[in-house]
Amino acid sequence: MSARASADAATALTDVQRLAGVARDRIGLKPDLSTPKIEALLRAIPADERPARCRELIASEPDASRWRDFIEALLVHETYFFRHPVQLRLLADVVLPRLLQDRLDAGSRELRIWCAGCASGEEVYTLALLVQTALAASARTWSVTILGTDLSAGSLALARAGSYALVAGLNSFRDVPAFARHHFAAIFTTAATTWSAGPELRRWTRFAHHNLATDPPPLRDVDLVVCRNTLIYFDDAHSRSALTSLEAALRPSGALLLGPAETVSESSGLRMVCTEQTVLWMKDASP
Amino acid sequence: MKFVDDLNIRGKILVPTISLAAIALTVAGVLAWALNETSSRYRDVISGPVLAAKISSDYAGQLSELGRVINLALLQGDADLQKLGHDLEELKAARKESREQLERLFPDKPEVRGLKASGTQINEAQDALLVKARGEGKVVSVPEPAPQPVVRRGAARKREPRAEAVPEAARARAAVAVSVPEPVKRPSEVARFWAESGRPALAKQRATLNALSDELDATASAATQKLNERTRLTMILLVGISLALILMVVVFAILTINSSVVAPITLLTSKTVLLSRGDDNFELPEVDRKDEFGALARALEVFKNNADKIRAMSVAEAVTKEIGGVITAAANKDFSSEVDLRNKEGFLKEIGGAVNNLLYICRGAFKDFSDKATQTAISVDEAGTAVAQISDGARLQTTQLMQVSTALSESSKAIKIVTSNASSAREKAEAAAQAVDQGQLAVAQLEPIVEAISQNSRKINQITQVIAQIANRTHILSLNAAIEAARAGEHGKGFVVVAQEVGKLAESSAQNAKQITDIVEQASSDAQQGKVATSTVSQSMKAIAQGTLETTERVRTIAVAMDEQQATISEIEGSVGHLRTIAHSNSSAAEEITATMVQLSKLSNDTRQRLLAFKTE
Repeated sequence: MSARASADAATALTDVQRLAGVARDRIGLKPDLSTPKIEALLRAIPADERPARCRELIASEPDASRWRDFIEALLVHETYFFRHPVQLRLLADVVLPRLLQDRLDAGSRELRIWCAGCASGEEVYTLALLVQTALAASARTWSVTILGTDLSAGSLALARAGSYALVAGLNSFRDVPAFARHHFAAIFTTAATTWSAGPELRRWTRFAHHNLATDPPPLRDVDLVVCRNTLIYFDDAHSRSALTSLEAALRPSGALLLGPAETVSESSGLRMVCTEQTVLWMKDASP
Repeated sequence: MKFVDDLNIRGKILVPTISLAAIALTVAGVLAWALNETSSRYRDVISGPVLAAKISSDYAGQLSELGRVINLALLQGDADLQKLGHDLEELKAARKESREQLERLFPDKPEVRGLKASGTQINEAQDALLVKARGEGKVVSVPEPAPQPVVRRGAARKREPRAEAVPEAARARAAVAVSVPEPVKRPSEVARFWAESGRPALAKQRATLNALSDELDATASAATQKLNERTRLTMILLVGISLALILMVVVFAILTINSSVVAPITLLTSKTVLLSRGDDNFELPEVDRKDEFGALARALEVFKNNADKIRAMSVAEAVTKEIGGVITAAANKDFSSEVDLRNKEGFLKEIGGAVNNLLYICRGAFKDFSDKATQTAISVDEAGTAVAQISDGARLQTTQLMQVSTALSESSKAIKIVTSNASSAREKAEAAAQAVDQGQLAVAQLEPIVEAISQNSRKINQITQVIAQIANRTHILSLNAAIEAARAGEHGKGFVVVAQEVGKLAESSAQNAKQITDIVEQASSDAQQGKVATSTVSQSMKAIAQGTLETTERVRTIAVAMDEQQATISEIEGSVGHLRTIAHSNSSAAEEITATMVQLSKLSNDTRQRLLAFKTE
C-alpha cells in the first residue's frame, strides 16, 4: 500500500515537473516558481484525477480555455499605482523630458511607450499620468501611444476597464507617493472609493495580448519601454530573449525601465544610468 | 696651457684649425714669392749670356753670309761682284752693329776687343776686293769649302728664324757648289787677294765668335743650373718648414683636445657614471674651469651634493618597481602579494607600508564583500524560502478562507435550517404537550376499552371455535360430495370441482378460525399488557407533559440564539470576503517578493562569483 502511494507520488511529481516544463516553454515561467503553484492547484482536486488532469493540460493547445485558465492561475498580477517611485521620479524629472526633446529635435511629435507585463493596467495609467504632467499644456499637439501588453486576458479586461476600487488590503493605491497623490485626490480626500482613468488617458492607452517570452515586439521605434518585475518570473533563456525583444523595440537613445532585481546582459547595447537609489538603461545613440 | 683650458670647446677646436689655415696660407704666399723671385733672378742671370750668344750667333751668321756671298761672286764672275757692292755694305753695317753690341756687353773681354781689329781687317779686305773687282771687272772663283754654319743647340734655339734660314740656304748652295765641277778658270787676282787677306780674318773672327758663343752658352747653362738648385732648395726648405709647422700644430691640437677636451670628458663621464650609481666619493676640481667642463662640473656638483638623493632615487626605482609589481598583481585581482618592508627605509617604507595597508584593507574589504555577498546570497535565499513559505501560506490561507467562507455559508444555511427546525420543534413540542394531555385523557378512556376488548376476546374465542366446528363439518361434506360426484361420472365432473373448492374453503376457514383464535388470544394478552402499559403510559405522559413544557421553553431560547447567531455569521461572511481579497493580494505580493528574492539571490551570487575572482589569500 505504501509502495503504491509513493509510486503515485513519484508519478505526480513527474507530471508536475513536465507541466512546469511546458509552462516554461510556452510562457517562460521559471519552474522553481511555478512548481509549488501547480502542486497547490493539483491538491485541490482528488488525487486519482491529478495525473489525468496533468496530461490533459500538457496536451492542450496554448489557446485552449483549459490551458488559459491554468496559466491564469500561475500568473501573478501584482501591480499598483506609482510603484517604485524613485525610479519614476528619475523618469519624470530627467529621462522623459529628454525623450520628448529628442523627438522634437527630429521634428516629430509622436511619443511611444510600451509597458510589457502590465497586469491590471495601473502602471500604464501611471505612465500616462507622468506623460500628461510632462507635456502639460502641449499635450494636445502630441500623438501619444502607451501600449500595455500582458498574457492574462482577465488582467487585460481590468486594464481596459480602467476603473480601480479602494478595496481592503493591498489595493491599487497602497503606496502612492506624495508627489503623485494629487492625481488621486478623490480617493484620498473624499469618500470616493473608485478612481477611473480620464478621457485623455483612455485615448492614449491601448492594451493587447502579448507573450513576452516568445512573441516579437508588438511596437517598434519606441521611446520608452517599461518592464518591471516581469522578467523575475522568467527562466534565464526566456529572460534573455525577452530582453532582446525589449531592446529591439527601443529607438536609438530610448530608455528601458526594469524592476529592482532585474538587469540586462553585459553584451546588450544598453547603458546603465545610475543614481544613488535607482537604475535605468538607455539604448546607444547609434542605430 | 691655462688660457687653453679657459677656452671653450669651440675655441679649442677653432684655434688649431685657424692656425693650420694660417700656416697653409703663409706657406702658399712664401712659395709664390719665392717662385716669383726665382723667376726674376733667372731672367736677370740668363738674359745677358743669352742675348750675347744671340748676337754672337748673328754675327757669325753675317760672317758666313759674307763668305758665301763673296765665294759665290768669285765663282760667278766679275760682273756680279759689282752688283754685290750694296749687299756687302749692308753686311758691313750689320757686323758693326753686332760688334758694338758685344763691346757694350763685354767691354772688358779681350776677345771682343780683338774683334774690332779683325773686323777692320775684314772690312778692308772687303773694300779692297770691291776695288779690285771694279778694276778687273772679273772675279775668278776660288774653290773653297762652303763655310760651316754656326749651329749650336743652346744658341740656335735663341736665334731668329731669319738668321737661321741663311745658313740653311748657304748649306744647300754649298751642296750645289760642291756638286759643281771644279772651275776650269784660273784663279784671278781678286780671288787670290781674298784668299790671302779676307778669308783668314773671316775665319779668325768666326772662330772667336764661336768660342764666345760657347762660353756664353756655358755661362747661361751654369747659371740656370745654379738657379734650379737654389729653387729646389727653397722649395724643400719651405715644404719642410710648413710640414714641421703643420705637424706641430696638429700635435698641439691633438694634445690640446686630448688634454682639455677628451680627458675632462672621460673624467667627468666616469664621475657621472659613479654618481649615477649614487657614489659621490670623488673630487670635482673641474668646477674652477671657465669652459663648458666647468659648467658641466658645476652642474655635476649639484648632483654630487644630492648624491644621497640619487642613491635614494636608484633605490627608489627598484622599490617602486617592486611596489608597482604588487600593485599590478592587485590590478590583476591578486591581493595576496605584499611589499617587503624589512629592506626599506624612509618614505619608501612609508609608501610600501601604505600600499600594504591599502592591500590589507582591500583584502579585508573584498573578503568582507565576499562574505557579505555570501551572507546576502544565503539570507536572500533563506528569505526567499521563507517568503515562498509565506506565499504558500498565503495561498493556503486564501484556499482555507475560501473553505471557511464556504463553510460559514453552509453553517449559515444550517443555522437557518436549525432555526426553522427549532421553531417547528417548538410548535411540535407544544402540539406534543397538547397531544400528551389529550393522550392522558385518551389513556384514561382507553382502560375500559381494553377491559371490553379483553371480554370481547373471550366471546370471539367462542365464536371462532363454532366457526372451526362448522369448517370441519363442511370439509367432511365436501369429501362426501366429491365421492358422490365421482360416482355420478361424466356428469358429476363439475360438481367435483365445486366440492374440492368447498373443501378448500372449509380448510381455510378452519385455519382462519385458528388464526383468529391466536390473534384474539394475543390481543387478549396484549390488552392485558396494554392495560398495564396504559397505566405506565399515563404516568409517563404526565412526566412527558412536564418535560415538553421545559423543552418548549428551551427550543424557544435556542431559536432566539440562532437568530442572533445568523446575524453574526452574515457579518463574519462579509469579513471573510474581505479577508479573502486581502489574502489574495498578500499572496500576489508574496509571490512577487519570492520571485524578486530568487532573482536577488541570483544577482548576489553573481556578485559573489565576481568577488571570488579576487585572490585575497
